[in-house]
Amino acid sequence: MYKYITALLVLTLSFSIAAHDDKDHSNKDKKAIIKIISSIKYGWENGDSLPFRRNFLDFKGARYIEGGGQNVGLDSLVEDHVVPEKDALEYLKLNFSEIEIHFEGEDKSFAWAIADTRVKGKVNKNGHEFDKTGFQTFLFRKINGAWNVVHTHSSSRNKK
Amino acid sequence: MKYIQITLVAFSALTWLIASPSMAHSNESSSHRTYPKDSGAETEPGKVVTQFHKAIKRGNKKKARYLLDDNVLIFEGGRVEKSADEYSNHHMLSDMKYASKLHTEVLEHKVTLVGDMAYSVSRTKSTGQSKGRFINKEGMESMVLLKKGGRWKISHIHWSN
Repeated sequence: MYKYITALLVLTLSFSIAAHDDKDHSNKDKKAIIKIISSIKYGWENGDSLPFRRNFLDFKGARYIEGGGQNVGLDSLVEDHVVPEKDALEYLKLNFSEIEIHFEGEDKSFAWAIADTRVKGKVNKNGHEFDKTGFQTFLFRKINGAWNVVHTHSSSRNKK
Repeated sequence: MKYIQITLVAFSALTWLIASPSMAHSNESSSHRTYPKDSGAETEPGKVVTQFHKAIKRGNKKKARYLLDDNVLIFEGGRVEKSADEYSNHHMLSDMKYASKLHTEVLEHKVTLVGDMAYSVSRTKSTGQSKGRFINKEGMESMVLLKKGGRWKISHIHWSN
């Protein structure tokens, strides 16, 4: 009888340790992804290419979709979009909220995150101010222990 | 004179017979999506994406609903729909009506498989007339697909144009 009870206790304990490990692991991954999303916000607002170069996977076929148009490859996203906006806009405020992250796959090496977005800015050329709300999709892959953005899609419309 | 009439009738019938299949094909291609080679449409999750679009185009609500995960999250035109039922009872119907009137060409389509999940990214060009307006738009689509219980389902869609 004691043998069974001991075996049951050991089994319960090992399950709870495994579950705890999984939770820790998931929290760690979640934090890593939130950190990347925050750095993307910083990159857009400051026209800084570094967060993109550091966290986006540069591969043939990469597509980053922004408001109905797409950037083909990381260079296009950074050089044609992120950096020029620094000069084109007097200011840009980007906010991601209600971030949801889903981990997929047996080894949880793929994640997709969605967020509500609010983007405000002022165009230098004509003084036009915009205030839009919308949604953002991020897709991530974990490669050699590090999370990499493999695809983004954002869409928005004028705030009502 | 009778021979001429018979010849004309026979010629017309022959012309109609030859033209029919090509006309049917032409109608078919104008009412369906066309996919570029090596688009990824041939993979299992890729087929789910193409079947979903076919169902939307043909107004097959049951099929389109079946291909969506119950908890699918759909971003469309700055709006969100948070379940397959919500979408199939609201925007799916207007999407079907809209899609049925347009010719859609898939300019790019890439499906990436990662174990039991996949993602699909595509760019399309739609032309035609809807509600008295001429449509000539590029559309972007991102999808996340998950294999659950041996079946691929669409878990997330982001549409923009």
